[in-house]
Amino acid sequence: MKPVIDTLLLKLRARDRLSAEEEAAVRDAIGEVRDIAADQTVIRAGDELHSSTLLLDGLLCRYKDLRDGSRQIMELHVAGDFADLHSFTLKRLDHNIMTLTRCRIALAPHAKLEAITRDFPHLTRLLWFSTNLDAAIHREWMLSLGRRTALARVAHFFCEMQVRLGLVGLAGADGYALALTQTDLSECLGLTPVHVNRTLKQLREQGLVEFRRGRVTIGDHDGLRRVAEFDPAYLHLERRDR
Amino acid sequence: MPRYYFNVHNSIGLVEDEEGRDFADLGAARAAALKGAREVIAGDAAEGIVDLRGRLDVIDSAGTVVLTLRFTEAVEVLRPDEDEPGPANPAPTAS
Repeated sequence: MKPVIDTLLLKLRARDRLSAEEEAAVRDAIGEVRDIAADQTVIRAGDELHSSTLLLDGLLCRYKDLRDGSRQIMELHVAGDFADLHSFTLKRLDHNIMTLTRCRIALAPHAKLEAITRDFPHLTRLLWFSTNLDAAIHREWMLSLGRRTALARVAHFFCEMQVRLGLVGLAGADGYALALTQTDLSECLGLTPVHVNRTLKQLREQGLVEFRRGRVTIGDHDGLRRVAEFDPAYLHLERRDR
Repeated sequence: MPRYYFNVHNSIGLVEDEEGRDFADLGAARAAALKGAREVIAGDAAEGIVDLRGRLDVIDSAGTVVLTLRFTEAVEVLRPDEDEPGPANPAPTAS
């Protein structure tokens, strides 16, 4: 049975058109499906890689650790994201990739991706776009981690996840499921869990957003975006020729 | 591993930890509590207020407070001596 890659197609089609031949080429490139438990490191920095990982369901993250155990998560991946399309050219990652929830992933062998680069130049550009989009998300996270206050940083994170999950049909206007622990959240945001909890209370009391038991409930969409200074331009949502 | 919950009581009232985290032992939980309290104090300091009236209670899964960390214990406060001369260049006042 071929894996269900509708979320990847939704993500790409939000940014450009995809021909029937290109869709078939993507489907052909994606093979083996695996189900993985939560909290498993699936790719370690330095491992020689021969395939890229497409997330079909669940939440993955890119992270790096310091020797004392401090962890920074650099990006969260949602269904439809390639976690390591960049491993196609890097061959070895400089960071780790871990499941934050139970995940279903599918592997795209690099040999198949290479065939796409040979035969489908426009599809190749769309995949290139995907890695550029990851870089744009990293830049926005750098701005958050380096400059945003805890309040704005947490608010921005919830705004981003709403847009990204919404693109693949997993978020509504008033909220979405996000099965993260306070530790996961603190490692995304560069804050201690104590500080995250306190900031969540402030956001809740201001009626902006509530995060409880794996669910984000947005109370004031515009207010949340205002506090976060959220501008979705970095998510490159225009549908255009690429 | 035991699970501990960190409830913070300070100027914004009680911030209840509904989820908790697993630690190797109470010592590891205390180290995390200290780090968390210091970050909250630092966050306030960046806004211009150092509020040491808060405390952090570490609660075990039975609901018992096993450790209380007062914010005053989380940081050492050094103050200039009263008879010490002030800074040579006083900070500019807002105009």
